[in-house]
Amino acid sequence: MVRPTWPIGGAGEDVSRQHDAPRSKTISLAEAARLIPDGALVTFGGVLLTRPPAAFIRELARQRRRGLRLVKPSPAYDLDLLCAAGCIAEAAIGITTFESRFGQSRQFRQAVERGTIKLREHS
Amino acid sequence: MQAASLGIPFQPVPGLHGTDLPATSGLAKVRDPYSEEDVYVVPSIRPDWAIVHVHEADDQGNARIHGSPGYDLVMTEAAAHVILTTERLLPSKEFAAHPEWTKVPGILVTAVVLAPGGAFPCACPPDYDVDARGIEAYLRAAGSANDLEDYLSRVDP
Repeated sequence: MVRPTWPIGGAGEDVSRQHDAPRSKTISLAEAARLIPDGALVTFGGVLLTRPPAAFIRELARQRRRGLRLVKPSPAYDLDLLCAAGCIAEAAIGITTFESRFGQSRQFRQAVERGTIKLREHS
Repeated sequence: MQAASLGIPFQPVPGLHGTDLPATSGLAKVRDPYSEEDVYVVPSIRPDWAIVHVHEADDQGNARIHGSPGYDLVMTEAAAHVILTTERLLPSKEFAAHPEWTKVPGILVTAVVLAPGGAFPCACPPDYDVDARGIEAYLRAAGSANDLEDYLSRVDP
């Protein structure tokens, strides 16, 4: 019988080290936010006030990211905060609101009215 | 983003005939080669980055989302790069034991950030609901640059 030759490891060679755990992808919040360059086209998970990456959004604002273009069907806190902090240049959205008793997304609305962001609205 | 998640250049969309939306959004029409009827199409959108908050992830970016994933799975498939923030980090063997619970495969993910409470003051059901005082604190601060800076410096630990 001919022993098959594998791409990694010769016959009898211990290949178990090829299967060591891969390197961890965990980094800090600040390091992760630094991966996003000014002007990036970004999308954020979650729907309205449910499960947005809020801590990450705040870190982008603290790092004074500029010119971000957001595409998201239903942003709320995330878009409003980034508008308030001057991080957003453009937004393509379906609906945005804080819902119920919290009312409208006022910083977003003001940014649109003042023309400081470009809005593409698709609802 | 649905189109980008599938690697196709555009997506047919029903229900727009008779509305002003195609004109205001500048949507093109194509001829369906099968029915030979016109159909509106929206262009593919491929974000540079998708950032998604999940309940559980391992250090390779395999992730579980409990309850409705909303549009998050489409976002992670459509974007060029993905960052996850997660309530909890679990060992990879937990994901290997229950692969059917994995919603985001780690192969799509560039980086993972441990961020317990990372959706606050918004909700992360079933772990926590919207924090009304947290939302109100933001709304009070957001109108002034100084107050917003103060808010950003004290809201995260």
